[in-house]
Amino acid sequence: MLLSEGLQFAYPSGTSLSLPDVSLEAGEQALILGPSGSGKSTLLGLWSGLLSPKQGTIQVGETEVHALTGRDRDHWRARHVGIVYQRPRLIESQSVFNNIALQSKLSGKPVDRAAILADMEGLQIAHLADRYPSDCSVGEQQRVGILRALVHAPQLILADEPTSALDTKNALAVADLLQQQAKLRGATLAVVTHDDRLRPLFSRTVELN
Amino acid sequence: MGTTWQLVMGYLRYRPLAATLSIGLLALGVGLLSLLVLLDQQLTRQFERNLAGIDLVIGAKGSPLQLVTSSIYHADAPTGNVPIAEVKAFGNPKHPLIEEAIPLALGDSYRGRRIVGTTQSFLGLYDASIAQGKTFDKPFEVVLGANAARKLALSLGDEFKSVHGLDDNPDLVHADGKSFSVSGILEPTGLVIDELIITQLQTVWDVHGSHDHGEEDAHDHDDHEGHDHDNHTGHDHADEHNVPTSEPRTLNPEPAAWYTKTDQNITALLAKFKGRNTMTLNFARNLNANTNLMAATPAVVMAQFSEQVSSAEDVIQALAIVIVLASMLSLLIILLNALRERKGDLSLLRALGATPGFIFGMVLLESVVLAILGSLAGLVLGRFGLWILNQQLADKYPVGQGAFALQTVEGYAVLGAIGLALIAALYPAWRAYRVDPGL
Repeated sequence: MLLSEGLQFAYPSGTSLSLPDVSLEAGEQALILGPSGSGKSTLLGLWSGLLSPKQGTIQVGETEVHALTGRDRDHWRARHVGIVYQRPRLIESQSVFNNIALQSKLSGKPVDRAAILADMEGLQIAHLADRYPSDCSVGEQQRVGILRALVHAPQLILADEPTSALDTKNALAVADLLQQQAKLRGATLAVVTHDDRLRPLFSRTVELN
Repeated sequence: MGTTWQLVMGYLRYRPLAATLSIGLLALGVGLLSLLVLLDQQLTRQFERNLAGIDLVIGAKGSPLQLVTSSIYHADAPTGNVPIAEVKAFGNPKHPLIEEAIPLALGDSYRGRRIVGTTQSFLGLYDASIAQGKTFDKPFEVVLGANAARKLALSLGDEFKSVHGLDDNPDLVHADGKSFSVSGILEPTGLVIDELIITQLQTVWDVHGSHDHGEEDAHDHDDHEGHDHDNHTGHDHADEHNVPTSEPRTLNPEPAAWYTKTDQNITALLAKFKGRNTMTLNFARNLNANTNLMAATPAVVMAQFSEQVSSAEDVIQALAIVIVLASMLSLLIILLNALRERKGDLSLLRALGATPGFIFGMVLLESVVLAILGSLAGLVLGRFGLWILNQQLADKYPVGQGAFALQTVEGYAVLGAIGLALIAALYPAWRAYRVDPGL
């Protein structure tokens, strides 16, 4: 489902980075582990189409990601990729519900209010639907951010250090939530982190040096 | 569009102060422009409607503008009196050029409202009809314009004594004169007649002919009304009061042919031509050159007056445009500040799949929404300004029907503001377009 081969990325400074080949099956869940500066976030940027490789190919499903033009790649990302951040990164001027529904709207899919509220209920944040992010706790915001990455039923869920700012209990809870939701939706999950606490939760691990 | 709209409205609600500032400044500029347009439209409309088809005003020599404003708009002091003997030919129905000539005898008032001595034709000039009572059949009977009746709180049968001149000066009351009696009240017309007290010519002649001149010595007649007494010759003491010199002061009904009373004076004559030809074009010129009379064409005089006023309008209009441009500058600054604040949001939107075009459009839409809101607020503000002015000046310059209706020029002003807002938003939108999506 995700096939990444011969990737090389050139930073604006001129430094070049070679990244390992990765192949993930549809629905597979993988932990991409590596220390700071090993290129974890760069790999995520390349997989999501936010960055362009100097060399190599990335295929997600039937799509050759970097063969798409910029605009088409944006549309592809909106429809098929869900991104979870270390910080929730919510839009403060929009309600919690609208923050979640935003990804659906950008993907061009109709907003199914009932389905979203049901998902919010499942994550125990339904009561926050009409509130604004500033009215929510950090944990609640994190769940809103996760649901936003799932709401449009993407093929690929990419999580960038989703647990590194959390204590162990919450880190494991967030990772568990991600895994459950990805499985529920049949999406491929790649969690990029330097957080070793998550290693036991994943059967597939890719190490970056 | 729905997503963009939702995001833009969210941002405007989230930072209401900045939005309000921008909207307020634009509203001020558009409001000022709007008020100018509405006032101009009202003045032109009122000027034109009150002309009532009058082709020529004939009176004593002086300022043509003063003659027109005093005789048609009743907003200035008359230029003086003219003997009927000098204008009698114009009143004759057999006059080759003049279809109708309506005499006016001015000079008295009641609580600031002008008393106009005239003939019944004066009511016809404004298509005025009687709402209550009857018209003035006898001397000292008056018909009140609708506003005059309301504001003076006078009813049918009420009596009052007039004041010499237009100031409400108790020292100048014709205390020894006969009282005026309200015989009728007119339907509102939206014209200057609504503000007047109308009576027979004979009434004015009687008031000024019958009162005790010995008592008048206490009045300062040189000051009242500011009449230009230097410009007409051969007047006697009575002339200084806009009054005639005739001896009989009986309260006889007004004769049908006013122009036969050649021993009396009038203040002005409102004339309508039978048609337009070279002779009518030269008529006023001949009168001015060869007689002691002055003839003024109201349409020409008011057009000249409008030109003079337009230079003042130009200054206000320039000021309004400067304010609109300043509001656009503030819009640019507000959008750039917003851009800095929302850089994280814009980057997130790009990461979630929003295209650069979506982000560009979002900034433009925000600017346009602010421009539309500011413009609409401006249109409301302009009308509020007109309403306030109307509250202050309704007595003399009542607004007509449709005064608050949207004018075509205002539509252009709104479109112009939106266009300028789009231009102001181009740079911020371009910077937003280039926001790095980054993780």
